Amino acid sequence: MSKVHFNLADGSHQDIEAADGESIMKAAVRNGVPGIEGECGGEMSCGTCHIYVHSPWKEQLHVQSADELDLLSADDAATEDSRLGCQIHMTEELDGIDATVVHRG
Amino acid sequence: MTDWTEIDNSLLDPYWYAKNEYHGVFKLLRDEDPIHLAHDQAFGRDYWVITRYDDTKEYLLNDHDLSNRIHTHVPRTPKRMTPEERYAVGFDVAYMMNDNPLHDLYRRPFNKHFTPPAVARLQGHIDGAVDEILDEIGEKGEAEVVADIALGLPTKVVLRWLGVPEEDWPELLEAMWLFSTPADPRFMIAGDPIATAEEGHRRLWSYCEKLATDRLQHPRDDFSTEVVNMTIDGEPMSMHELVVNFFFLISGALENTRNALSTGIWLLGAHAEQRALVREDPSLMKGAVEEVIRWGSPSANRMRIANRDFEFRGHHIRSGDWVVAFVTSANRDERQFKDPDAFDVRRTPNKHLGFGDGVHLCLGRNLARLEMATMFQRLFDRFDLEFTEEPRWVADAFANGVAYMPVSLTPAVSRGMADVA
Repeated sequence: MSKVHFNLADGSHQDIEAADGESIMKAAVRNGVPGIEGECGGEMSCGTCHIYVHSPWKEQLHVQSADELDLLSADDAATEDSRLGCQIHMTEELDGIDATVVHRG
Repeated sequence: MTDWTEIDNSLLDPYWYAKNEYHGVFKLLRDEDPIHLAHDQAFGRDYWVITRYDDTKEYLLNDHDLSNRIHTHVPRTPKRMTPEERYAVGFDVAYMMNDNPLHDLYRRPFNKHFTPPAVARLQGHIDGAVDEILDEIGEKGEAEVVADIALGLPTKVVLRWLGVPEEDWPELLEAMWLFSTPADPRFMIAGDPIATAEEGHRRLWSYCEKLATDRLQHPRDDFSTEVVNMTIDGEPMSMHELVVNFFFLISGALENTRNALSTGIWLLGAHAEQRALVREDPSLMKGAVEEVIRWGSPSANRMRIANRDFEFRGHHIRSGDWVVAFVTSANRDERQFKDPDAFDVRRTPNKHLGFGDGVHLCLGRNLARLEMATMFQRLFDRFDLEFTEEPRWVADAFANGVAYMPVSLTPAVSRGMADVA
């Protein structure tokens, strides 16, 4: 088990537990984190688990696949720190990772 | 005594579905034999029949043991398709007829165009198409819901998005009707639904060839041009790949959305209390759209082929077996949905399987949702509908929807006026 620290769109925070190997999206949906929908179930077809992972955590992650970058490119809210939560699988090394939910106007 | 032979012979019979009395049979299957081996003499091949929600969900998610390599629906005939025949209809490269890793290779370039934020950019375009349709039918004071509204909307939205010129729409639409509802007596050629579907397929295919060729030569600011510029593994798509993608984009967008819209207009039109709920609280529209998909299951069933021998909920499935999940039954499973036959826009949770699940989850679902929400909202804001004839349901084993539904229209009393009254 490891922790994910979410910065929510309304400025508040939520800490959740994720199982080893579980994606951040799955853990967030299971815990009802607002703003993480995971509508496609992790097939990289919806982009509704878009989060920002800033330094120093972002350097701990595998770099985005071409498909992940391609899907993110369709979202106007995407930045260099954008990730799809479904593509980040939790490990002990990522315990305590900060993830910021994308604010939708 | 249950007559299983009659049930088995009905499950793929288009006319049985047009009678719209099949839900009782699916309830029987869910209760008495939820993983049933059908000896379907009418079709000419045995297949497993999955009817419960949990089983259908597991089935859809298990793309390891269950393959799409023959078809995503039961084909119209059980005869094996040769590689030449598969190539001729594009099943060799269509992502829905393929498993991973090939599936993702072909589908991924499309995903980003169908995400909620990408689709939301089409809202203005959808609003415009809805208003055009409502202005037209408002002037006439009557409409045939299926042709005028349910097919009219995805036609305008998708064909304009693709940049298909309006003068080509009638030929494309006729091809669609032949292909998608070949058993409908209005379209059937020489009493032969298979030949009718093939003729529709041929015409739609040849239009897609024309479209791909034109955009390669004359790029424009439209989605067709984006499609011809997509790459697979870093390389441009071949002409065959382009034609196949256009073919399934157009047929998927028109047929399934038409059925979802027609069912929804019927449901909301026939349930005044549900319509009133959405009118009073427009935030319920999102749930109403999901409930229409659950209740109607526009894409009625799925087919998979067993990749290997495996145990499925206590049944021994053999490699090569055909396994059919009836989403139309899963979405009415009492084990998952309370009072499943009721149309309830407030139903939560509503984790229906109408768009499928797993790797083959419907590509166009978010576009369909937006078209449905926009049309339902504006149609019932502007008009009161009266059904002037009993609706007729689509005669098809794979698609559920209303085939024909004439209505008369009167301007709706505005909510403000109603409040005063």
